[in-house]
Amino acid sequence: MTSDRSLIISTDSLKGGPPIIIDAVPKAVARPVYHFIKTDTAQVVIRHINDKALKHFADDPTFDYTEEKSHATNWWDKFWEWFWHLFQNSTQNESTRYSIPYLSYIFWIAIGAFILFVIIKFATSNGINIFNRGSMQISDIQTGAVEDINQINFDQEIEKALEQGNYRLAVRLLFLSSLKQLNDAGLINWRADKTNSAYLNEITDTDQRQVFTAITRQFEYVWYGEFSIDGDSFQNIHGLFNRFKQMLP
Amino acid sequence: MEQDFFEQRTDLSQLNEAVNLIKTTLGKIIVGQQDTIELLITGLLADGHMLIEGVPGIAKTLTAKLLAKSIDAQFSRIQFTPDLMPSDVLGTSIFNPKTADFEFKKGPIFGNIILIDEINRAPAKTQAALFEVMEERQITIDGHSFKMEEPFVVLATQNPVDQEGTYRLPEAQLDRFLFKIEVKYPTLEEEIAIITQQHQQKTTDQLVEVSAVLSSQQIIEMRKQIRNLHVEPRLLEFTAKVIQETRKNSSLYLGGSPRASLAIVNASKAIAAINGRDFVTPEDIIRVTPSVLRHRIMLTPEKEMEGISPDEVVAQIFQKIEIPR
Repeated sequence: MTSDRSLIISTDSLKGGPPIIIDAVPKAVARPVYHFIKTDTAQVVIRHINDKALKHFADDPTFDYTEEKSHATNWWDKFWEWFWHLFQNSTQNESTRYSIPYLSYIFWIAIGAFILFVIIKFATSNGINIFNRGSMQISDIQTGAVEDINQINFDQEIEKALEQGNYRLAVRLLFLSSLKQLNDAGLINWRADKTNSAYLNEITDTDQRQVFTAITRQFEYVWYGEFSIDGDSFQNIHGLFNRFKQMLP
Repeated sequence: MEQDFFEQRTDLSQLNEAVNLIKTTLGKIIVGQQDTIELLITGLLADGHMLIEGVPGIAKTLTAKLLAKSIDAQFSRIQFTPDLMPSDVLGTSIFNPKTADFEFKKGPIFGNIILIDEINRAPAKTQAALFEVMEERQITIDGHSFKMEEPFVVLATQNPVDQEGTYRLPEAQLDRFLFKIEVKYPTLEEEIAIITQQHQQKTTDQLVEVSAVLSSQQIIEMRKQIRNLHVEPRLLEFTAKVIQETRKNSSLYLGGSPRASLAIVNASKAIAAINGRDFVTPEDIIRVTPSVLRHRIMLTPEKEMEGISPDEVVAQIFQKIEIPR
């Protein structure tokens, strides 16, 4: 600091605060700060707020800044409270204010639809047909309609087929009845898309496998090969099926 | 427990004997690969062309050459290269100064068993030359049609398309192959057997040991027999349902063609005959379908990115369709 300059200090130092050096000016022009400050002589007019107008604003919920206290106790509730708050804020305007409850229904429906879509997509990509009870159904040979092996009265149907002399159908029913028995006994897991070899591989008992191989062969010759079959041949095949039935628990 | 209550309608004993003879002949040199060999014989009997795919060095060409050698028929081999021209395959008209006329010089495609090695190393232009001959068994050049002699079988080998220097075959050509047979690496036991066999071998040419066991005429007779095998109408419906499903499956952008349906039925008949039956079962259809479809169906780009194979999609399709019984 040179001797021909005096200090200008901030106004805070006049209120008893520590002196702050702002700048140094030549000694000849140095004067106290209050010499620069002018006094405001303008007349102050006090304005009062109209009570009616104040009440109007006070009643308007837009100006209600009171924050509702959270009732959420865990993070999951807090998340949903936050979500709904966000949801309402983003949708609340004059046109939608009264439709908020409906919007929440729409939201839940959308969530449900999305979950359903994900399930269907997953099932489809894994080859599962969730809308079809196909896993327990087979085609009816004569009508082409879908039938459930659990719903067929095999004894009655076989008797009916034999009365009509339809030995081919009778062999088919005997084979299906054997599959049902195997499934009921838990020896195979019946599914409409499985092949006879797949069932054969599921049977672990050697004797049962051997006889099942034989009845499958007869079924295939009669059913897929459409070999003609008479009463005598049917009796022989029937005997084989009976033998297999007796082997099952 | 092989009690049969039915007399055979068709005598398949000769056919079965011939098949066993081919299997034995090929089995002398090829270790393992029973599945490949069975499909090759099936394709041969079903009057189809076969595409054999696999990484280099797994005896694709050797297997095809052995199969060709086991049949007494005219064999020709074409090595497909990037600069191969259609005329190199089909033949070309050459001017004969003596007669002052053009003479057609037959290309290597004229034969009974045609081995096309590394088929996907030639561009689309050359591949297109095979369209007519593979489907119609004839070629048309300079306004003249030349019929191929029966049997006419194209055995093509290729490396997977992601390998260096390979082209993707046109869909139209792929559809003309009855089967695409994928040859896998041998198991440890098989690999040891391959090395041991090679080590003990006295001659370098393995093909010397193989002689023809089947004539062209026998193949023609067997094919006639197979064409007459019985297919229950519901199994035809089952086949059609499988193909229809490929056309609406979300994992596929190209499904199977009607030619694929016919291929499944023909191949199923052949495999039924090989198994000694004169009728087709659902298992025959399920057995041949992946080989018939894997080169015909095209995955969507998303599924391709996911690494799903056409065989997996075919397996999923079978899970959706009820087996007729």
